[in-house]
Amino acid sequence: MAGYKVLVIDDSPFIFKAVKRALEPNGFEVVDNAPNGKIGVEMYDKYQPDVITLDVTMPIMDGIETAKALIARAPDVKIIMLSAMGDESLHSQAREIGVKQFIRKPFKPDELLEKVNSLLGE
Amino acid sequence: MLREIALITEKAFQEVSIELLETEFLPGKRFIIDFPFKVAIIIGITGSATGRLYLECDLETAVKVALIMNFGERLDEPNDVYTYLAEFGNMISGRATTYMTDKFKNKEFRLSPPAIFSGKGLETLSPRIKSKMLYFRGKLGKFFVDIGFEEEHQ
Repeated sequence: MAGYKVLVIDDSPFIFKAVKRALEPNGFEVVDNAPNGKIGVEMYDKYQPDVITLDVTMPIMDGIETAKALIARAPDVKIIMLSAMGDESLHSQAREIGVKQFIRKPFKPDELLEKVNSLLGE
Repeated sequence: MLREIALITEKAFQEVSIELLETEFLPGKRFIIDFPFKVAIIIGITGSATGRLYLECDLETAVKVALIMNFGERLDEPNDVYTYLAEFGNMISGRATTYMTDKFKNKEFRLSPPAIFSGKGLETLSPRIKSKMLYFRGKLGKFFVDIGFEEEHQ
């Protein structure tokens, strides 16, 4: 998976570090961390990442609004929603927008790697 | 309902502690955190009911938690202690509200980003909130959690 770029949109520096530790040893380039959805959309334009990990609860623009904005820009954008919340209504709301993968926090590195590979394999 | 919410929150706290910190915290009797410098996280709960989860520990415990979350490495900045503890609180709140949504089928809860407080002699008052206090002890230290909702939702 060398060369694939991953953007982290999350207000927690811990999650950025955890994503880097899970993916970089496997050849991914984790390009940056946006602390909210608004900056995340700007960073999407800048980096054109292959995969985005997206938090739900964030200041300024939350994960659902960010996913809508990203998909409006690039309908094929690959998003993994990382959330402390895992209820079905949130998942179905995200699925309706076009988000295909979800991970509940805290997550294991292998779990994230598997979901990223699965998204890229589609 | 509040008793069930307290049990759900207790379960969420214990699960997240084991999954994230690989350490166990046991619920127990009331205590006072007597360390002078405390850290507190408040996460707002919105949706079908309005409430909040309050998480408090002493600075020493917060540092231990942050170092584990930082994979045993030194923190890049001293303030990372607070942001890491905020994420810990966010995970507990997220897990708890997910269980609440599962348990109370007609309810749906969402979270607001954590607010972080630190300092000496922290004391919080929530006049319109009816809450349950939970006390946890573990190898890393002690945590106090207060989960509550506005009275009209009880």
